[in-house]
Amino acid sequence: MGKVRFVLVTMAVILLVAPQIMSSGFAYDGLGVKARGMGGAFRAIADDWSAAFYNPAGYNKLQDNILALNVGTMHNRYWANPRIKWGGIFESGYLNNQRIANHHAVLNIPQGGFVTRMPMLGGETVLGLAIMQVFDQNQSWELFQTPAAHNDSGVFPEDQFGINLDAVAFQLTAARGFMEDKLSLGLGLSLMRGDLVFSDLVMRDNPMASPISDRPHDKIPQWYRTGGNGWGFGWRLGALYDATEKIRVGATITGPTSIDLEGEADMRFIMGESPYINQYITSQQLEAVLFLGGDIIEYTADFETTLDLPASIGGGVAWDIREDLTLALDAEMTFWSKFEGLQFKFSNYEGTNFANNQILVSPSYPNAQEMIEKDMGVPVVWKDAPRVAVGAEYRPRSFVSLRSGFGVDKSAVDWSNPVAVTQVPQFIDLGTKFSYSLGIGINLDGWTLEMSGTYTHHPDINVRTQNDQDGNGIVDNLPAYYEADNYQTVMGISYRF
Amino acid sequence: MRLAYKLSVLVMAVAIISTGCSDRGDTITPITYDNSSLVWTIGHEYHQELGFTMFPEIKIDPKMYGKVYTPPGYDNPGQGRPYPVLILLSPFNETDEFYFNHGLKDVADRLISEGRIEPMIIICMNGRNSYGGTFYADASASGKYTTILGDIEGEISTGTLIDYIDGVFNTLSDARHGDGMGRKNRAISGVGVGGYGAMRLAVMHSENYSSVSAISAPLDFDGSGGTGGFVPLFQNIINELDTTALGLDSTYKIMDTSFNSPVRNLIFAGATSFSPHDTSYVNPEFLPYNPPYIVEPNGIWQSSDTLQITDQETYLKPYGEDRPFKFHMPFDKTGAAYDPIWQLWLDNNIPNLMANYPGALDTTAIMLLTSADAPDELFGFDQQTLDFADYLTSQGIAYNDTSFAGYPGFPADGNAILFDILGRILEFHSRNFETPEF
Repeated sequence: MGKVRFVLVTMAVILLVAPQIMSSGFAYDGLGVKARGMGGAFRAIADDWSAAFYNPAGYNKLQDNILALNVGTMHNRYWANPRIKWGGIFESGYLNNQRIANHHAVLNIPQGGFVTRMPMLGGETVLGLAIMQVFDQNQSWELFQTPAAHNDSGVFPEDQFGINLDAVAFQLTAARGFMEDKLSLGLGLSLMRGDLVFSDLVMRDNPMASPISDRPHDKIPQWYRTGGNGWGFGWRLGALYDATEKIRVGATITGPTSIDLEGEADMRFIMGESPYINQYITSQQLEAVLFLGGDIIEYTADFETTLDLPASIGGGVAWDIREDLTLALDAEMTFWSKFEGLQFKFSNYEGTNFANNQILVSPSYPNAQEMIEKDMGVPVVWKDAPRVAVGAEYRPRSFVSLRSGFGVDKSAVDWSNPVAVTQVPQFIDLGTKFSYSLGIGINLDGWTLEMSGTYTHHPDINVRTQNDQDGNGIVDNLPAYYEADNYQTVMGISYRF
Repeated sequence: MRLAYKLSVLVMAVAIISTGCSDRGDTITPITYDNSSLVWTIGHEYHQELGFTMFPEIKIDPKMYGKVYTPPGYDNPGQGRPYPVLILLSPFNETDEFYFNHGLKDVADRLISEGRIEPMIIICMNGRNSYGGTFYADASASGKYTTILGDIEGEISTGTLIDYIDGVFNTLSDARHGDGMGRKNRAISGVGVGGYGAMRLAVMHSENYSSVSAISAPLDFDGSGGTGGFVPLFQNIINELDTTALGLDSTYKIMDTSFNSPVRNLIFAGATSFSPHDTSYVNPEFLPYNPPYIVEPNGIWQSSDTLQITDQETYLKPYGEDRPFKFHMPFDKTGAAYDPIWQLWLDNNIPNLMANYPGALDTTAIMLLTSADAPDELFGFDQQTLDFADYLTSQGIAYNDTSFAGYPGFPADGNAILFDILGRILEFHSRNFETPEF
């Protein structure tokens, strides 16, 4: 009982001295079972394959070859209650005042690594190859219903607002010791693969004059989905120092990565519908027919964008209080201010049928062409975000490890200016988040079976104000009352030989 | 004890995992409503002529066109419940399709489904002519709209619109449901010139309408001080004339009547209704129906029509002397109101009509809507509505007064947000119907 009390008091002290904390954005924090069980406070421990992510220098401390496989499962349990009315009064299809869940999905994220100790450069160098998903964002929503006075059959796909972003690092890590192994340095070089499926539904201003643009045809809903991939390079540098026999200190720097993504985009416009459109047109006004004829016009296009993944720095300390108890504290700053969102540049538009292609080339549709051939994007204003985590591992038996952790993440979204909040359903990051982790590891003759679970709670946020961040006439955020929780389980098996 | 502890931990873990990963299902409540309402096209032939297309070739169309919304569940008279009636008059240069093009069917369907309004029959009438509108006045030149929309003659096939609607549709009418039931369940409304027509009919035929609403309507032709309303528009029209080739006198006399100046055409439309020159033209087809013409001693045509104006000062002859439906402008070549003609217009001004029909609105529910975004709108109708509201206040007549506005970048001028106002109109009239329980 005395041990438990001591651990609790120690953790409480660490939490009290920790600042307001956490890194966010779309960083994936489900790497490594042991690390997750300790809430991510792993920089100064870094004693399994996931050191490739937390601190490459940790590889120097590994005495065995390791082959490891982890599977993370994640459930993003979000709610959005849209509150989008133009001028606070006029609705145009958003399912306002409904508490809507994101689409159900239990996400599986496999990852793993291989670590080996090899004689190199006059000493022993530990090399490792790890495949890690270091950034992830995956959710989709249906928050819109085609409004009245539009084609009844006009619907958008279920992923009206959606993202499936994966940034996977194929990282080669090397580490070795200095100062009689008191100091370890490690370097990871990674080939970064980015895959992105992004969908968004925006309301475009009807470019036609009255009465064609009278309510409820003042806005034209446009949905688009981009799907593509690309490659980039990244690096991370780590140091681990044995300050005493019981205290280790770790530090890491992760470099920024830019991944140029290319792929194809689909887009769909649902035009207004007037039952007696002939009142407003002559034979020459083909464009009026287009805007009030209830058409559903669809295009494909090529797209390109750049995914800017942020740099970060971090530090940690681990304290072996006793032989069977370790405490760890991590702090990290991720430079999300460099991430400005996703800007899609479209080219090579092609209609899905002859009529749609005619709209692109005919001089009869100048307003439609300008509306269709417009680059889209989700500009965001984010800020650098810190994260702090504390964790503990207790080893009651030689083959059992029990872990717990607690993390505090600050939001990358800049909430300081309430009229310019860039919160969108694709990136859920609702302020300072608290995460609670538990984990267990069992060692059996070189095999290790591990499991951890993490629950993260976001504060409820009410985004009230529409924000056209880039001034292009399109509202970039989505005002709503947001709620969010994340459930994460990571399981792993590894073999040391 | 140790086993119990382990079991409780296990149960908690399972509970957390199952709660955390459970499928919340589809949490969306789609906005659905019964949209089985129907829209009918009507073309009722009144027994007197209705000027419809006036140039370049005269074409007298005896029919008054409209579109009729019948609510979900509607059935013919005797086979289903009867409904109250709302008549919507089209604004300047619009037709009976106007309200449906602004989402009337969807708005009515949704409000009925949500129980926010009484199911009702909605009749959208066409008041358009070649100049854009008729002001729903009574004139041979532009049509006997006031009579056909306001009167009850008791003859379905050739009578007024109310006769026709009450005869053909399942309405709450005096004939089928007892005296007074028709008025209690009949309302009229309109946007712009349609709003003028609605108020005109509510005043001149208050026996048949129990509620009236007017949206941004010309309800006070000369404004509260006698120099507002249409009066400033006269000078604007003169100012926009290009007199360099022919000089002011000649240019004034041959003002362009093609539809390239909405304000000018609005005045032309009013002139065909309030100050037509030659009402002696009668389509031979209608001779049996038309009363004999009487020229009053002063030679001035009065609002009851059938006379010829002898004044030459403001005489316009579109397409030449040999064409009928010539008219007189209410202003002279200087842009000043020309009293002999202007007075004919003022005879049709709502406050003046109210003076001729004292107490007409005493038991009529009134709603006035104006745009807060368009104080300087093209026709100045909003200001006229506000001036009329002041007049009602001065007369101690109660009314509902509401303003509406658009949103940043989308001002509520013209008919831009009619879709959103329609709900207010329907709710107002629904509240004032006295519909029996069915």
